[in-house]
Amino acid sequence: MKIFIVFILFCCSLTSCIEILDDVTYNPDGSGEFKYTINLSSSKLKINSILALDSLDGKKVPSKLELQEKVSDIIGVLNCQEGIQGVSLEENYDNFIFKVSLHFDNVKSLLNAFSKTREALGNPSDSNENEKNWVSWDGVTLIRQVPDLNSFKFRLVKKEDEELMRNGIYTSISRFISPVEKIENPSAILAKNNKAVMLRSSLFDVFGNPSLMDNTISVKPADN
Amino acid sequence: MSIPLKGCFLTFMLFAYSIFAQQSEALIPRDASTVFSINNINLLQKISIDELVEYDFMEELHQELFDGSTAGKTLKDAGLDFDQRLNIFYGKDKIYELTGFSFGIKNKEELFQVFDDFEYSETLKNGAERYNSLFNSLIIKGNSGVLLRIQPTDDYLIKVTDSLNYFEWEETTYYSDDQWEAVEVEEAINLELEPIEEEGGSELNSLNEYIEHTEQEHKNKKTYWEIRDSIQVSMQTKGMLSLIEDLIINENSLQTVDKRFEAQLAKESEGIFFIDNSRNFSNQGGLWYFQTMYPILNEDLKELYAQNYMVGDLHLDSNVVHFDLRANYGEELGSIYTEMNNNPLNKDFVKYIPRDAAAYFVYNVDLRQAYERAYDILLPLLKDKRDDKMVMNLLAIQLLDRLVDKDAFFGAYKGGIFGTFNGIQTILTKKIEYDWNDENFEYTEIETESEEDIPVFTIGFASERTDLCELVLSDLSRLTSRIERKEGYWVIKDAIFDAAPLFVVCTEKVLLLSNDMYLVDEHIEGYGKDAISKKDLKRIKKTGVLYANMDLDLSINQFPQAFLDARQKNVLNDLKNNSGRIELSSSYSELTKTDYSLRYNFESSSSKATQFLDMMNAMFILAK
Repeated sequence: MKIFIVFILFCCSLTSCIEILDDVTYNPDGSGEFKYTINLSSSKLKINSILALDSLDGKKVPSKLELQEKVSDIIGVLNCQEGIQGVSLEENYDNFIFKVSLHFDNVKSLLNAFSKTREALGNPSDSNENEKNWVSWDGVTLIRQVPDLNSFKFRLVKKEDEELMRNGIYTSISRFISPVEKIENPSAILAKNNKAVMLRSSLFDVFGNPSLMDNTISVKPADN
Repeated sequence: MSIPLKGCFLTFMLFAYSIFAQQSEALIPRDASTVFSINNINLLQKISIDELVEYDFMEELHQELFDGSTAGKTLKDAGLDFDQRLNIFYGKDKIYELTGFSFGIKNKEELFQVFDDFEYSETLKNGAERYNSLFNSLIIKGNSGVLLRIQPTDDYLIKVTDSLNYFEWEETTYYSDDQWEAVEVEEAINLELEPIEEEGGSELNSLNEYIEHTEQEHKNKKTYWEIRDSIQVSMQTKGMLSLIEDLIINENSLQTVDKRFEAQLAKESEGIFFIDNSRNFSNQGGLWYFQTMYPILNEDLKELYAQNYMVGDLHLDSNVVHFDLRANYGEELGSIYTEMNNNPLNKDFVKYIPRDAAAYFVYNVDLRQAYERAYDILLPLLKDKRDDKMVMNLLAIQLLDRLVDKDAFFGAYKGGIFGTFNGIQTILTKKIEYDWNDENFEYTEIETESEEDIPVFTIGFASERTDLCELVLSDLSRLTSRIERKEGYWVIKDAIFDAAPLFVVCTEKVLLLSNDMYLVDEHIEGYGKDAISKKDLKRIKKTGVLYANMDLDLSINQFPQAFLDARQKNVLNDLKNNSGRIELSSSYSELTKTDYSLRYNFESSSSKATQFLDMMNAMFILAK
């Protein structure tokens, strides 16, 4: 009977998916704005059903309150980092959409802030220097990767997780003040105004091969 | 032949007979509280060993067998004697957990090609041979063998370890393995630097010597986990020696000490099953409600379970696995069960079970009847106890008994329940997508509809006071627009995980909770001719407290595993990819027994043996 009642609690969707959106604006002086959005709205039934459980696969399921605390910890740590200002967080627990945005003085500050935040939250900084330095920007040339999602220790062990990832989308947008002159990744799309570049791929592919999102973009030097 | 020589020969023959007539069932330890014994192991001859060890009841053997030595081999190639039973057993008390299996041996050489990790250890004084591997012991006595594993229970091991050295880690809370060392070093230095006393010589030298000494001491000190491992190994060794002494040397097996088990062994069914609930108290499910509500009292009621055991026979016909189970208990417990379980079928239940339901169950108890009986029996038992918790609990029970209007209470909640699973339906939920502007890749959020699959279910509770539910919903609906009265039912919007509605139907005799729109739109008075067939109804009426019916194709294979615990998942996985029906029914409870019957009609391309093992494994997991 217990099994039956658990069954009734089930609300699982085969079409669930996650959408991740990173949107970074790079100014000629090296500063910029970083926006990161995780949209779980099409999985909200599944998330609500998981949150209703005490444990899943033998692991404790955090409550909404614990989730909120964890997220505010992240924001707190980010806020204290040198060269980072205006950290803001939007949490939408009705649709499970989380948005973080911040301004950075230069990409070094951004990289440093992420690294410190991960350390403060108990995820030791990666020893791989390439992954640590996932973006460089000198005002003319942007070389970037997506942060390695595997380093966040997501557990993709089940077929269901795999399905979730296949339906998920990762979108990366790089914005500039000056027009773009050259893009190396052939999958990238240039906006009509020539000042924004978009790369989209399935989350599953990005997990498997993060280099899909690697890109080098050159822009016209700003007039002094 | 001289008389003394004849005597020696006769003695030798008797000795040889006693050794070689030994059957595998004589090697089941008396501490085993759950035993599965396969009689017709001929059935399993063609099962590959790799397939067999995948089953949970062979779990302990994984380390021994998953090393390539079994590749392409069947049980027949493993030197087993198919004229003897294959017995799988499990037992647990507060200190040890015991698992293993015993079997007949036809060819020892072939056996050791499979059990190639075992090394000869000793010949025991009665001639039995002991072989050891890293975790297990294999004892060969005559033409039978038993593989044994014994280990301390986690709770006991933690208790012993903590009691040994608790003061060293009482201030530490939870550390990961990696963090442990670092914390301990830091603590050691902080603590040990303080008590330095000057005893002549330079202060600096003393300090250096002290630090060197304490550092050396620290290196020699075992961590918590190392101490725990040592205790575990020591307890395993001690437990195994004592087990071998009792089972092999003194020949105290379950068969010799428990006549009930011996009687069960005489059965000729393909498999038998034995659970001694008096030694398996925590698994006792009959009084689940009582156990949940009054766990402290329940622990003190073990004496009620003294005669509580279950025996089962597993039969295999052409496409049917039939499992007969008898739950035996003492008369006192039996008198509660008979009051609770022997009730006429609630007709209002069956009219809400659709003919094409993928799965349904009816649990037809009457708590009012059982309450009076339980009160009369349990109260005198508990009155003997003297501890304060018990006295307070008892007082609370007596006061409630006198103050609460039991007819009103049990009229509102009678205890009877039914449930149906009517398949999967697609519902529309809202999701947020992005609308992109090609000019600059700016975006806006837009709300779109998304399809989600959810199971359709109905649960019904027997109640003669559904007006109380109406009252509650009516008042709450004034507070929130999410609760709304419709024609003949209530709807609670987004009640299921903020996405799907829940319908509440208050009939005269049943309170229904459902997310089935078809039920509330078309069948609010019952399914009528679309309800379960008369034939099925007749079958349910004949049963006692429990009846369940499940179409494997429509239910198990759609079951969402993410929300199950490991044990439940294992059971489902065993039954997955099979098709057919499972029907579970019980007889009316008698004073000392209740019979249960489980029929599994399979339509599968896999062999009979596989179906048989699947079902046995499901039983094993549930019983463990």
